[in-house]
Amino acid sequence: MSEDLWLIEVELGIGASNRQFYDLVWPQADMVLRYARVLSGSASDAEDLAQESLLKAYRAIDQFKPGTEIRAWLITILRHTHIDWVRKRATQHGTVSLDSLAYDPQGAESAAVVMPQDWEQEQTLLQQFGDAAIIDAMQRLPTEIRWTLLLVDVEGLDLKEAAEVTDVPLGTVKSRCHRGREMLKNELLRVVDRSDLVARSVRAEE
Amino acid sequence: MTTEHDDNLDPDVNSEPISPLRRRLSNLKATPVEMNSLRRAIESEIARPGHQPSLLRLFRPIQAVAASFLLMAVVVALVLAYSSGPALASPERMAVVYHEMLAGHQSHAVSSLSEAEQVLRKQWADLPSVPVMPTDTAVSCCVHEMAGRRMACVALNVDGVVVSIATAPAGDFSVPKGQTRTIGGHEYLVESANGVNMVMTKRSGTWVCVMSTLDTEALISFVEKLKW
Repeated sequence: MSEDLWLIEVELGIGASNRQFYDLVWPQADMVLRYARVLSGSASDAEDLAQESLLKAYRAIDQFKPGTEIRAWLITILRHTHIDWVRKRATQHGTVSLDSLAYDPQGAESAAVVMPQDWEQEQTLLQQFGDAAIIDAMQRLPTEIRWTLLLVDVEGLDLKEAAEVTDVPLGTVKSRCHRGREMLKNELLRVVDRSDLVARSVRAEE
Repeated sequence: MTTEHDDNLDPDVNSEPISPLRRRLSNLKATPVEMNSLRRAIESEIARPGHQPSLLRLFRPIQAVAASFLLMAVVVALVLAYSSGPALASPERMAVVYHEMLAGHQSHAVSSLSEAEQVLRKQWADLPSVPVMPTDTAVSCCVHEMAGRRMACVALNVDGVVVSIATAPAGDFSVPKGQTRTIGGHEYLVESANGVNMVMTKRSGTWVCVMSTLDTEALISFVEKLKW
């Protein structure tokens, strides 16, 4: 787009927000869609969630403070949209929200298959999971645990930043990280157990 | 049962060496996603700045040049209209002048030609010489402006019919090409528009247009009686 046309649009009072949106927000749209995919159950739900989040970002673009981290701002919007989205769905389907955080680690551990202790073996095992399989396993985790892993392990926020986004104390983020990783390992190992991936990975090691 | 706020649980949870699981999770940041559908949905809601059909974009330089020429033409037309050249006293425009006088629009009621001349001179100090009328039954007068040129108009009551006479310096108005009549060595342009008959002529440095619902012959007869 040429600058002259943009100036005309600005003078007419149109297009300034649109330009900000496409300059700042749109380059991060793939991240929003990617994380929405982790948070929701299907590709179409993910797209709806991402679209709604991006439109909210557009409408609130004036509230974004230049110089601050756009990704964190967008993730916060995505999180709030996701919370509303889950609540709305629960209301529509007459069900209680599945976002229960009452995770029982003892129960989980009792059902767990032990992850290989060897670091390289664990890495080899994990490499056999495609992104879709990892995402599927994450979707079986409680939402707040999933959010914590998404922020800390996927996005790479530090614990303090993750605590700010999820609006919980730092200690809660730490415990969710720890438990979330254990839960995710268990979920993955269940998959391994079912598909006998372990045996193949051991054979590969040998 | 472990509480949610257990600060002592794995306090170094994020400072430990990156585990294979965390490394694997960080790779999700690069998971390819299909953006086309989302892009279409967003663009239908939020127009891209400066976005326009490619064909129009192709024509933009041509549009700019055309707009420049158009602007130039308008400026030239205005300069010509409001500067040195005479204004065209088209029959349609003169018919409008006649109807406006008939409606009393911006006209001054007078009872004689001398009074009309006094009123006109107040509005137009350099009032051109107005030919002497064959009848002194002036009912109204006004100064009318057309394309930057002024004309003095007087409405007369001629046997119950309004006859308007517009006069101006001969150089200020040009007459359209049309049907002409030559009587006694003088040429008269005969026109008609919007139910108004009119006869125009130039003589002794003055342009005159006589308008009425009277027929053309009666108007020519009236003009011939003017004393220049």
